[in-house]
Amino acid sequence: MKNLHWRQLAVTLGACGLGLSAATQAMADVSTKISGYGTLGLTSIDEKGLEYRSSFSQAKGATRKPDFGVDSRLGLQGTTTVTPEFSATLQLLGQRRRVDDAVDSNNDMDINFEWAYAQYAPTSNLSFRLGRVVLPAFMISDSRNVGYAQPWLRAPLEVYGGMPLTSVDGAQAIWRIPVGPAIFTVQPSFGRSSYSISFGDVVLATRARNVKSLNLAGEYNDWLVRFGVVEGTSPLSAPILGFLDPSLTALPPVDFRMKDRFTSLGLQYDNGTALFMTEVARRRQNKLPSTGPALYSAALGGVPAALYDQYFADKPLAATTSYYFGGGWHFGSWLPMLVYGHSKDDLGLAKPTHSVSGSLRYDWANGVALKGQITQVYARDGTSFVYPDAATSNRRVNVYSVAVDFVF
Amino acid sequence: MKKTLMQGLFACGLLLGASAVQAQLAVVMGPNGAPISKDILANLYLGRSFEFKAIDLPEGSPMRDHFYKKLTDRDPAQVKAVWARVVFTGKGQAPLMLPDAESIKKAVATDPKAIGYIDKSAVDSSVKVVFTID
Repeated sequence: MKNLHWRQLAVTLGACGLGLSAATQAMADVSTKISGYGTLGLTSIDEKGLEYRSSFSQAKGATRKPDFGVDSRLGLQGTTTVTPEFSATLQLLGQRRRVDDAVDSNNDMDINFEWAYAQYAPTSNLSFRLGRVVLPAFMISDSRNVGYAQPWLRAPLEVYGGMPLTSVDGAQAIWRIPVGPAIFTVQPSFGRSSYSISFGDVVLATRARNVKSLNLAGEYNDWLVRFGVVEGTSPLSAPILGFLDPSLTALPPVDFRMKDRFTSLGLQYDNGTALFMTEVARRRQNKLPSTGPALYSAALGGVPAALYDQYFADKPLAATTSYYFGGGWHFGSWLPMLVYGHSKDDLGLAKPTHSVSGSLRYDWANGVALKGQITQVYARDGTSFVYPDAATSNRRVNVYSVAVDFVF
Repeated sequence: MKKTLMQGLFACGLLLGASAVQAQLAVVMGPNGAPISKDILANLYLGRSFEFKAIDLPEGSPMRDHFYKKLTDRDPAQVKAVWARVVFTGKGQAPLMLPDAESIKKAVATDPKAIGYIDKSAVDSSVKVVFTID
């Protein structure tokens, strides 16, 4: 699905629609619903030499010249219901996301099936899915791309920017347990997933195997409490030293299985007038071997081995604790909101970073919202910037964005 | 003179009464429907629960907007945002939309799992009122 363009997306979608409607005509009780969502966003920053992005999977960002790619996306979804118990869902999503790791690749536009699953729902409270399913890593990660469903223009990157997995190829169950007026949800998922992360010129495209996720939620009236764990194992045969310093990418690769675990707890209150959201997320990994690959010392005169000992031996590649909290107030069709996000490197290799955002949503027409957002973030933030500025570590950058969100 | 004043007051009362009646909505199910609480009803119309099949009036209908405002304290756009999240996370489909009280009554009378809301004055023996919204 690489190298597709919007026109091809339209053609593919048209074909899907035709296929679905042909299937619909074949069976009297079969019904198909097609719906879609999208965001057209324009983003720029007020500093030279930096590129602001909205996720780790973007290898290109917004500069002082306004950029359409960072926040724009288009999703199309079709659900065919065969019987009340059996249904199939397809979701096609186009967005800026690098999925290959070629150094000189210019392939930043990705159109892919975000979901493609068959569902069996024996009761209204229980369903099983097989195929490519949503991975609910954090509180709103299942709907992060649906701008119209979000109060802000861009979710806080401290928590949401670092998670490259959005779906898994595997199986999922959703079990709703009503207890009086409260509803508890248990959602386990298993499978594998491919993803990419980019650090400057280094793009790592890999697969996470053995992805296991458990999402627990409790909803009562205007309250939502949510806890989640996601675990996955990625083979890291890429030159891992490059993560620390891109000039070291020429070194031989380390063969290592990285076990990654994200744990998060979130709380949301929305009574229709007041809105409050907060979430804390922790990332933990297994440790690298205590001795570096023999190749390092033998082939390169010992220096890289020393580097390995200094930066990687007996340490995980990443360990972070991040959180955000934000609040807003509905004034008729207007929703102003303030959000503070914070991220700390628990390995102590980088200084903590934080950001402050002010956003405004205006519900302009049925299914159309206009948004603006200003975010102030440190230039050293490696999630927000493709090439973070580690040298002048207290430099702050303003990010200006406007967007139109729509659903149909 | 006194009689005219009384007539005026009476007419005024009728008007007030009329507008109150117009705003009253009956949440209806089939003949075997049991009373339902406000919280559980809100769960059905905000996509948290699918134990019953919620039926809606068309978007833009003043009665629909009134129903959601009273039940959930949310404007039409906020309700649409809530449903966008439900639909595009695969949790469920938005309520079936039917054009008027007649079609809603017909739908709930034949499906014991269906639930809808109609003007209270349109209630008849084919349906059971399970909740009332002023």
